[in-house]
Amino acid sequence: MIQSIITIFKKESLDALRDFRSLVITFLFPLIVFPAAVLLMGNKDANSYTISVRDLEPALITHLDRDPLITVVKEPTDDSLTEKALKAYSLDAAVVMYNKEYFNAVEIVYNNSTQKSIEALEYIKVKLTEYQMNYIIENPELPHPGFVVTFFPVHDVYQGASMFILFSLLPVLIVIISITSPIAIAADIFAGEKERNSLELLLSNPVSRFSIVIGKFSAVFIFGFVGVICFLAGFLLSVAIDSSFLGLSNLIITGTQIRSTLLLIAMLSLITSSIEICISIFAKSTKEAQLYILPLTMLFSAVNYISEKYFFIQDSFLSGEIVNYIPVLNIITAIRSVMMNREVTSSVPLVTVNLLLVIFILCISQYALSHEKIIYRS
Amino acid sequence: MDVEPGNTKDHCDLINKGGNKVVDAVNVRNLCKSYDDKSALRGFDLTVKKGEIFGLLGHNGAGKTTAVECMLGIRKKNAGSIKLLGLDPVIDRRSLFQRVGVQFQHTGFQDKIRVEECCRLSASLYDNTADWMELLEKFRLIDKKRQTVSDLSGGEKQKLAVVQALIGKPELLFLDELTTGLDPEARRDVWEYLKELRGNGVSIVLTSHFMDEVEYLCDNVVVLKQGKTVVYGEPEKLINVYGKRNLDELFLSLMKDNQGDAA
Repeated sequence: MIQSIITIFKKESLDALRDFRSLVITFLFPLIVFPAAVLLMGNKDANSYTISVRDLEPALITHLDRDPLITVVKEPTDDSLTEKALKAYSLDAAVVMYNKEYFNAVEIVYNNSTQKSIEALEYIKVKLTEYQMNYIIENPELPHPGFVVTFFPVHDVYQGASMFILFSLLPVLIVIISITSPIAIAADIFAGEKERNSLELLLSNPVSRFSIVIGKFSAVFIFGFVGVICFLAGFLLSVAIDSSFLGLSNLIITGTQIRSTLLLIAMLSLITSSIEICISIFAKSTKEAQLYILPLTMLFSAVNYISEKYFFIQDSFLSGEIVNYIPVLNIITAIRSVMMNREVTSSVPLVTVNLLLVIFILCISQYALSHEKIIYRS
Repeated sequence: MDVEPGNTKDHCDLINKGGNKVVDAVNVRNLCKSYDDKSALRGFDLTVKKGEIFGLLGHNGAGKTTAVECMLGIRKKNAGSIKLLGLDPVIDRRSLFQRVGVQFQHTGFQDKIRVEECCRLSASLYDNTADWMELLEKFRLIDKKRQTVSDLSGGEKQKLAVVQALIGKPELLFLDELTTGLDPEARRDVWEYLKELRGNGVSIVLTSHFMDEVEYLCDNVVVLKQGKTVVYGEPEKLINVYGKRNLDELFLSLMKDNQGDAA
């Protein structure tokens, strides 16, 4: 039986690996989607900073405002120089001066989770030094205006580009890629056999229907899994190209995160692959299979939305035990947890319920494959 | 043993009552199959002996393909019994198809698979395999072994389908419109090879629209019309009984004569 499964797997893999369209959809597109976005859209205004100032000498304000890379906006009227102010006014940094009578204590507030804000901090420091130097040169008889510069880093885990990428964008893209990357091979794997009239011949070989289903499922799973890995590799590549665009300059990936992500992606790919081959068996053509597989992205995105919406609400059902027993939702929620560097608890129910779902879908597929009206549906 | 044309059941019973325990290659009794309210097969009987080439004839839609698909266990029968090499095609699928080769007329292949890979992968499914390189040589495909299937002509694909059917060293072969698309030389080659197989004890069920092919190859034929057996017997005897010059003439007359029956 193992030999039959391997043969079916090899047959499907060879065909898909030689098909340019499959390679593009499965591997190339997921790999380049993020780097392409960075190359096309990144670095556009990386060197232009919007800052707010409070209680600064007019000369210093003028010095900062004269710089083409700095835009000084009106001082926030509410409780400024807080993380809220940075967020509300889309500032890269805020500069405030304290105790002007005694010494020039300057505090720079910035967001240490975005590269642009970190760059703004460094640039303001340079500008303050420059201002000091100019002041000394222009007023050699006056006392030295030395600044005592302090920094107030703000890292808002609920907001910011990095948060959006890791919490919102990445999980939903993983879900979508896990469905779309194996779509070319999955749609063809049974529906294509029907179109080519080769399914009857396959069923007339000394191979059990179970081996056929498992062999083909394995091929779709491997392609889907590798497709998502390509997508993540592309994502890491884009971070390497321009971390400021994604706001992930401080991105640290731990070994546990990598292991957990791989396991969760494998689980997700098992689910999506099993559903896709089941659809492919029922479909009468490759086109019809693709037509039925694509709405899965919407369905899974809706599950992702539920996970995202209730993730941080302590009283939500996502904070309880029940979520661990809801297949797909538990995977997406766990992916989100891993992205936020949280610990994934209850991995046993997560794996168990999802594997049971996969087995159930494969059993339906095997049954469908022995059903005459489905085999000859055309 | 003379058999009256059309008396299928007697023919089968004679073989079964023969005393020896030789298992028929194909033994079908009272096979009925309908699609919704339309009958495709109505009490179809068939016996194919070991080392026999059997022709399944009839117009398009007569029920030939349905009969073959039911015999292979792909379609579910409504009534009757089917035994291939003494085994049930549904229950004993895996062990049975180690000994059965199948070629369908319109079977396609995955385009990007090479000819040699196609053969190698097929061979890996069988316990006991023929030398597929030899088969490729015999069917004049050896030069194409590195080519992808999409680069083969229609006739070459047809020959590859036959090679695939032969890879498992079958005891029983189902060949559907075997020589359609083949050039005359290739047809002759295939015919000679089938005769050679028959000599080695392989049973063959052949469906064809080429009456010259059937007449040349088949030991027995059955003519189907609208799911019912019209005649059954040795081609030569049938031609004599009906007073026709050849099988082609006989076939055409049978199709005409039985129009009333079909209605």
